[in-house]
Amino acid sequence: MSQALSKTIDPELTEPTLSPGSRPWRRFCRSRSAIVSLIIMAVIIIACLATLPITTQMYSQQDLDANREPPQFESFALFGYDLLGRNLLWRCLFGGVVSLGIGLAAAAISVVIGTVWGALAGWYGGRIDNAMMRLVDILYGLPYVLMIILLKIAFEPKLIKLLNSIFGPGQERVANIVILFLAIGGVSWLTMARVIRGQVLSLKTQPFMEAARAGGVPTRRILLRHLLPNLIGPIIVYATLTVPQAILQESFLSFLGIGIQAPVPTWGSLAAEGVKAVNTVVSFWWMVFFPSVLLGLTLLCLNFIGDGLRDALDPKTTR
Amino acid sequence: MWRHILTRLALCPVILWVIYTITFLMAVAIPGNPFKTSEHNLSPDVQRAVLAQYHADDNWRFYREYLSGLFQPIKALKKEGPLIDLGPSWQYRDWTCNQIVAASLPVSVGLGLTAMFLATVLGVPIGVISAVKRNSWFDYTSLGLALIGISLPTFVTGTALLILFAVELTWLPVGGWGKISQLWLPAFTLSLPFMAYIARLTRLGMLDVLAGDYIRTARAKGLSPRKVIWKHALKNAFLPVLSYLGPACAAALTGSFVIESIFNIPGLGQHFVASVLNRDKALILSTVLVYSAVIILFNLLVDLTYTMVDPRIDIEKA
Repeated sequence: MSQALSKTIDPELTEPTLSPGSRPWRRFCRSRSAIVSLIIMAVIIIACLATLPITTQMYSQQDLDANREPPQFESFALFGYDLLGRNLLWRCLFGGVVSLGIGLAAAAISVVIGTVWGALAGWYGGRIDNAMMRLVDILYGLPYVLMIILLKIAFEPKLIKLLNSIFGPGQERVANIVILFLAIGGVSWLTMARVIRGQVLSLKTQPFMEAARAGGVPTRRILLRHLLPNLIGPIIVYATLTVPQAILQESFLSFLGIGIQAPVPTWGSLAAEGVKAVNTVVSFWWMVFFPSVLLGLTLLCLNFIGDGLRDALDPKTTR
Repeated sequence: MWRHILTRLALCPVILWVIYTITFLMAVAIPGNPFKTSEHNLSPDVQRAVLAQYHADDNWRFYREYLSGLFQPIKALKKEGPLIDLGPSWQYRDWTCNQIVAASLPVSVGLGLTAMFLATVLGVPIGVISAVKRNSWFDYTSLGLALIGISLPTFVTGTALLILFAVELTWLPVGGWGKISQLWLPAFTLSLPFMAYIARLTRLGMLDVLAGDYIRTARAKGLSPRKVIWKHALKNAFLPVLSYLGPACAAALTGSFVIESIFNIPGLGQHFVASVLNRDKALILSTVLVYSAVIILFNLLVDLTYTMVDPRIDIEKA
């Protein structure tokens, strides 16, 4: 009922005219869950980044007398200590930087591959489109977790060798992180490619594209100045939804023991370590609880923000 | 209809061949093999002979031999060997990949299918009730549970359920495989993210459908609300769920190996991770091919049920 009422009085008509740029933001603000998520996300990100100077020093620092100590106010151990006597507050904050970094990097990679692939397929159409999209279909059928593992194990030694030859020895840790987001990004561009292709196919037939072509605009310019700006909406939405997926996949890899190498923490590996420390005699609940809550909260917020963005940026929504 | 099914089936080998080639290229990129790391100090001659026996000395030869050995209808007709021969395992020298797959695939598929069954049977009614009683406490509670199901990794929810039901309440066994009672906990854990997604999809679909004119007509001609909701509305609202089931089954199969590791279940998942770590390239190819074949079949099945539920969809054009 309420939906029907709000449809009859279109808020867009009663409001003063807004610029096209501010309209999506206005719509985004109407979704309360998205705004709350944005605020929580900002708090988590700022907390992780602001403490970075401390956490980079402290994340692997051991206090052997304090191992398995529960949460306390002394020496900032609000989240307690892990099995090796490391302060979980610092580890969680630093792990947040690594987890979010992996999520963002994997999303960026999937955006680049997915957009280029989808846009090319949609733009050229016909047989090229057919071949490119059949390949996407086939890759959809591949068990992607297995592909991540294969990609990681197959190319990690090569990347270490490459990085060592460029930056000097001791690049194992960097290579480990880089290969992880390359592998996760390398398998998560498929949905993006499909969405972008659909978008390009429908945009291609619009009058303004025809006008640009008739006006003699070179293809490169059409693609960059006329096509790409119209793709920004779906790109942002699916990028936001890829970040939580990537973070979750990293946590599975950590659980299987092939994620980020210790002692560098991620929320996933911290939760996995915590889960492995669970036993029936003594409960070290804080080792599972805090990383899991941070991980869950972040994924939740990112999903809400993605949904809010989709509603705000979808040109079909009238509200 | 039949022509479509046959074309799809005929395409399967082509798709599997592409997948085989992609996987092969990646498997070859992994350095090392399980023969060199053997603790027995083999003489170079023997080592060369062992490598040659497994075609491990020459990548291109391994590619050809493995591919040509895969499908053997003539041998199977003469009852000399299996129809599909996945070759000998490189790491477990006493086993063929066929034996390993035969022992563990039914476990993974059984777990995955039970999970998908639970996800559908519980997720759809939850979605329908939340749509009908929109903004009620039930709607919000189910939304909250769904969000937990989507945003926590299964190894956390699995461990939490394990502690609650197996350790504290001792209603269900902690792990293992073989009895029905050991199936519920892992299957339920595995089903959680899918159940959440199915409930959300159903709710969204129902909200769309319930606003339709034919629902009003059905109510106006005096049908009971129950019949309208569960028969007329759900049939249309179920379509998005159905198209999600194909990829979801695939994800449940691959997602199951985290679950298998928590609950100590001897499924195919453990072999995949182990085969990559062991550089057992024959087993890597076998597991990927078997998984992919199962996924392709599931997708085909889902597409076929699609036309059965909604006769408006013409599968030839889809």
